[in-house]
Amino acid sequence: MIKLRVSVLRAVCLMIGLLGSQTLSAQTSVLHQQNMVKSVFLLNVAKFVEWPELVYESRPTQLVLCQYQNDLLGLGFEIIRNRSVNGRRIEKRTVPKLQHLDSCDLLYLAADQYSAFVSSDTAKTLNGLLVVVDRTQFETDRSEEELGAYPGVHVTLFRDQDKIAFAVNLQEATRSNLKFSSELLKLSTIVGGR
Amino acid sequence: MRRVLGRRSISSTLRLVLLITSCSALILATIGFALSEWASAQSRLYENLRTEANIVGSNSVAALMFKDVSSAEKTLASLRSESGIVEAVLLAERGKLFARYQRDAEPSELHIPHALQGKNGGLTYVMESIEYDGEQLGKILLWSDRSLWRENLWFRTVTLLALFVVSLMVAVIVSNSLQRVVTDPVLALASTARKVRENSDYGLRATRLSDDEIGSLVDDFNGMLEQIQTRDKDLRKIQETLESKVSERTHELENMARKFEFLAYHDALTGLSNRITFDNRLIDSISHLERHGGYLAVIFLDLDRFKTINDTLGHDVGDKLLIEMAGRLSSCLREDDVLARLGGDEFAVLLTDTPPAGVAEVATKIIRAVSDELMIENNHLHVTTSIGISIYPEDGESGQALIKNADAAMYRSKDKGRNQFTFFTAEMNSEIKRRMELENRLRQALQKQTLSVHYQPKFDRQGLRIEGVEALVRWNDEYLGDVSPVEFIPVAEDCGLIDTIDVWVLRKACADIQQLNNSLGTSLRLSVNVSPVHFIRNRVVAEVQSVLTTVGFPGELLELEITESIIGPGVEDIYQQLADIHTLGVQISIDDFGTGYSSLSRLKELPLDTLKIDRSFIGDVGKDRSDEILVRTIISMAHNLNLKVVAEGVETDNQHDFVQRYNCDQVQGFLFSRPLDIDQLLDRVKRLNAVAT
Repeated sequence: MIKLRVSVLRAVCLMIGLLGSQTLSAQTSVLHQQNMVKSVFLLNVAKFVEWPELVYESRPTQLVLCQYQNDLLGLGFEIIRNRSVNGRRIEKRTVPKLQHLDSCDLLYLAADQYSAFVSSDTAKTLNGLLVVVDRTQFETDRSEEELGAYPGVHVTLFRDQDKIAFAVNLQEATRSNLKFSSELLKLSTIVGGR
Repeated sequence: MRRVLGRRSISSTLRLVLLITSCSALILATIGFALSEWASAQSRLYENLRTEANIVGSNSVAALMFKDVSSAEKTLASLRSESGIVEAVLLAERGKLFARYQRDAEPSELHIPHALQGKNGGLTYVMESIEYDGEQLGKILLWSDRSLWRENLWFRTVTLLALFVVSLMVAVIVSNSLQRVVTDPVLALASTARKVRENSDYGLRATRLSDDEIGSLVDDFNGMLEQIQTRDKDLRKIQETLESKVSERTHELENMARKFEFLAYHDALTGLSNRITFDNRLIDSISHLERHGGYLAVIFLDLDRFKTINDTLGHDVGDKLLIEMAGRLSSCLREDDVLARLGGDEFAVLLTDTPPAGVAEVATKIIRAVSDELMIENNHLHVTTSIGISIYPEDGESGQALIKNADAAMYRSKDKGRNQFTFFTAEMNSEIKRRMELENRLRQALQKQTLSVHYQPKFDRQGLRIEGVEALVRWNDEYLGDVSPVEFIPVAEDCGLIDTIDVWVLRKACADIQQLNNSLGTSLRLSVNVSPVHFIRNRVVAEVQSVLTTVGFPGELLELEITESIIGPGVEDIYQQLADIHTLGVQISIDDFGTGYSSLSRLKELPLDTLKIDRSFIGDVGKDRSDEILVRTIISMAHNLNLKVVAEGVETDNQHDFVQRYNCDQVQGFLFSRPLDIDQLLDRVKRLNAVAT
């Protein structure tokens, strides 16, 4: 009887394990897909952004995509590795501290990392850094409150039904001397005034 | 084209030419533009489509990159404002349909062509790549219908046509004005030319209205008119001169016509009627006589030995002689009488209403008038005439017969010794025939040399010794037989053969007697008769000298017997000729002395040697006392002049006794010997010489 129970338990655990692994595998796959999409998003956004001249002078061949402490994009970044934006090959870096953003062109933050960013002094002094915050995990109503008006955040990714959409804070872009192409703006939700 | 255009006025032609040129240019330009427009419209269509596609594609970059289909569709939908665009397709990577726009409500099947542009199913398409930042994001395909293009093309075509029409109208107006620039000067020139032609007014000048080639033409035209005007003036002058010359010449021609008419009926030299007129008058007179009766006589005359005078002294003298004779003849006639020169030295007179006795008087008057002394160009001439007369109707009832018979009578006058008139008798016709026959045969005889020479011895006074011979020409014709010299010598004289006969006889006789003298050792003298013709032509010396030289006959043995008329008036230089003959040793004897009219002074002064008393006087010895006295006188006179005397025609002893009694030097006649041929003479001389020895 015990043996049966153990067997059944083993079977059940195995089944639970299999199901779990499958579920875990399925979940990993979805995340990877999402990360790929986000990576592509980030790349595409970068294509429609114009950095200050100093940035191009200091990093003529590189476009550094920085992540704070965590490699949020993970393997999803691979889809855009070796891709270029205006001749600058995109690279990914993970910075441990927000003070180390000098060599970044694009900072990709998760939503929960924003508060740390915005409270840092770096966020107040950065120039020419495109900050993208990912709020896709949240349901959003596309209101400005939800999407924009985050100081220091230029692009906010959000979910629009089953698609990833993005909002652009032009005010912050202007403050950071970043210029967004109208083509991009057409597709985006504009927040924070023009 | 020239035939068609040539019928039009120059202004309408020019207008037409300008219009055609303009139209041609416009049409070509219009067609060119239209074709160019069609081609460029086609090209523009594609270009526009490509532009549209590029714009749309550029605007769709973000949508493609962010896979924002709705944004892409919105972008594509903006093409609705382009009415020509019927469909727009946005293709993502690998040609996957990303977004699509269709103008028509009903969707159609999606068709993705392979080429980047072209036509399909009446639609035109272009396909452009959409790239961004070096990456091809997709393609944009636009489909367009040609309605707009056609609309544009139609609009442009209409515009072109309108422009064409307007241009044409402008061309018409401008050509109408422009052609006047050319035609006005030309028409002005033509108008001037017409006026010149119509009015023949070469003083007109064309106005120069332009400085181009037509202006030069005007100058040249005016220059030409200048020349024409000058030449016209010259021509008028020439015409006037010509007219006056023509008038002058017309008068001359009229005068010449009158003259020719005159000459047709008159003799050019003498002004007398000619043969035609004479014949006509004769015929008319005969006709008149036939109706009314009356008298009519034809006098035919010619000038004796006129040919000799003409040949010797020249035709000028001959002509003047004829003119003088014409005048003399006219003075012998009445106004109604017809005097004509028939030709040469022959004249004819038509006497009407004149009985035969009166005709004879007229003839006598004529003879006297002709023989009156005459001086022409320092030539003292003595001319006589022989006249023949025929009477109508006895001697002929037609003009031809009367003239022929008068001619025959004239020849009879010549036979009788000339310087006389003879009325026609019936026998004369045969005489004429005979005369003509003799002339013909005599010519042949001369040609064939069938004449011969006989010699009549001349004896001394006693009749015992032959001292000389007289050469006498004889003629025996194969048809006519023996023809007496009495008959043929006058014929020879009349037809101009006498000088040839004389020279032939001289040569033959010299040769014969030379041979005789040589063979017998005698010195027989030879007497040869010489016609006055030789003296008149002044050739006697040369002819005699030639014969003497050729034959080698001694001149001292030769004697020339010449007629008494030679020493009368009428022969110039007779003294010199006779003197020249004497220098050859030749002696001169006057033959038939007593029958002529020689004067004693002439006998005295001329270098003569012998007088031969004419046989007629010798024949009357014993019959006619006056002739006997004459003979005695002649002998005495001759001797007183140191001339020898020969008695010719001694036929009887009585005659011989007489002449011998009065110391005639020589005797000649049948009593002593008939004329002998050379052989007979030779025999005779031999016998006589034999008797003498």
